Amino acid sequence: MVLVEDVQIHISNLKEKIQEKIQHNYLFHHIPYPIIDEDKILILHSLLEPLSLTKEKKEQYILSTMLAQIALDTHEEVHSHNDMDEKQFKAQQLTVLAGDFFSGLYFQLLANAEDIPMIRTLAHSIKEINEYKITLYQNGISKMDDLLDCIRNIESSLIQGVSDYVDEAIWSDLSGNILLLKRLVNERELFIQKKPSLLVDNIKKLIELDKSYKEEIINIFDEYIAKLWKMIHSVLAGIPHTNFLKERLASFVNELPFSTNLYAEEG
Amino acid sequence: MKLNLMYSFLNTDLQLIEKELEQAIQSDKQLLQEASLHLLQAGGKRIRPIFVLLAAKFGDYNVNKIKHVAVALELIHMASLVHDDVIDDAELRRGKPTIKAKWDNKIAMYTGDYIFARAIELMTKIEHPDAHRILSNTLVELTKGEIEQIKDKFDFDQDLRTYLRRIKRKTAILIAASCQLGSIASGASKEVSHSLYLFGYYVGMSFQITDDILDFTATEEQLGKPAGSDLLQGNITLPVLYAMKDTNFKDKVLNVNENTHRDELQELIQYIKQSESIDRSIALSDHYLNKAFKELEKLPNNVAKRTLNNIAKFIGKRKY
Repeated sequence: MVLVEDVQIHISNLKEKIQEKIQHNYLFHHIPYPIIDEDKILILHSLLEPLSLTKEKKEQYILSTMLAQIALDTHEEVHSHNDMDEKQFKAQQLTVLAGDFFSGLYFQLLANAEDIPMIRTLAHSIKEINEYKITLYQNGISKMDDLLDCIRNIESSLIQGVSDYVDEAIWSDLSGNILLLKRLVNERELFIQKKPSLLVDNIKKLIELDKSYKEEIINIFDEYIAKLWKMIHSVLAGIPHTNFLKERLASFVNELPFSTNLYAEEG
Repeated sequence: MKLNLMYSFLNTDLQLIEKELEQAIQSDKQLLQEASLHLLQAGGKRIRPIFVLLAAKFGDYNVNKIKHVAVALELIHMASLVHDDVIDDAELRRGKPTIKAKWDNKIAMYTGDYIFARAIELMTKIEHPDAHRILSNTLVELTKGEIEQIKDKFDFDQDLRTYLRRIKRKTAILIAASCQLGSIASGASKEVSHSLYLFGYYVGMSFQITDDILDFTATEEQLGKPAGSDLLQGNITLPVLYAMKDTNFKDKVLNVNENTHRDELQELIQYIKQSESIDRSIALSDHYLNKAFKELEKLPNNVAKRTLNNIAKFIGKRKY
């Protein structure tokens, strides 16, 4: 039996190892320390754990995927223009270089492990993610489902790449849905707090706006969140030892006003 | 002799590389395609692919295999230029608007990351673990060098060692890796690969020192930017380090900071041009070049060796 506490400790250990890898004695005096997404570590752990790979190999896959993710997330922090003061500009310069540095680290980790196929897998996913990011940034999507697919791919292509590589097709869709759900919950909150959101900008372009568009956008978020929640739970029910992941998922939606309905539907 | 005449025997292969470069950045996303092509069409000397091809001549030369290394290295160079333009807030490169100027920083970051990933993906066609180890270490060191450059800006206390370590990471190791990877991918012996690595490293050091000298001695027309730009940006290069031995000069240069206007630098630039710091810098550049020639002597005689020798001489004598 896998204890939730054991998983928690394992995730913390992995996070510490990532922190050791990205350590740099100058960068973080000038730029914020990267956010290491524990949910992504948890998904990677959940999909790799039952496989007959060595412990070292599983760890390599988790660390390298997370380093690639941190590199992408760091570059997401670069502002579109350089209208800023000197201190901010220096931080902007170092943000560009930090992302390049983290990206070099994923490559270095796998190169030292002589795992050329996994280098190819992650590089291919990074390439795809940047294609999707450009599409989203340009507001160039004409259907809601395509927009959500785009977000799903940006959030999960790296993990989907890993799951396809280790032939765990079930995790490919599942990780995409979980990470899309998480993103929608976060973007819903951004929208309520009137903070900028590329996703909301794209949604506004897709729907015909009237005076009640705020309500309409919230409804769209809620409808998709509920749909994803249902899909995720029906798949997770068939996978053993995913209690911790289920708990984490519940924490995403707990704050939502309609969360009681989600649990009720689940029965 | 013009640089491109020195390696004219590689023309067919270089044309193939050019086509492969274009294919490598194909995307069905129109903007990405446009941005990548914009960068590709801005041209460049393709010096890294040339080093890869020449180094591969010391092994079992098969252009259909070697091309993956050559294209990957040029793509990495291109991706780093796109990001560098965001770092430097540069509007023009080789006389054309940069990607960040034509679109914006975000598009430049996505394009750079896309090209960089494409390069790594292509490189995986080389099934030699050492090649990936070398390239990944090079990339990590390269970024560390760029971070150091920002850290060392306007730091007039830095010494020669700091400068040399920085230019090693910034310039020399990618040229060294180009030579080493070309030879590894063609199955050349370890000794030959090592000599080619050192040759590339010494040439790269000489190349960067010459670049730093030219920043003071070449004209604005030749440089495509005003003379003394490095100093204005706070990059302390070799001629400045040597000139600082004169306490008078040092007292004045210590006042240079982010707010210094270009015109205020004229006196300092004139001093550097007339002082012995330029000759001393040339001497150090020549020292590295001689070491590069010595490494070449260890290699078997062939047309690639003669060409590498000529390219090294050209780099040593270039005026801009």
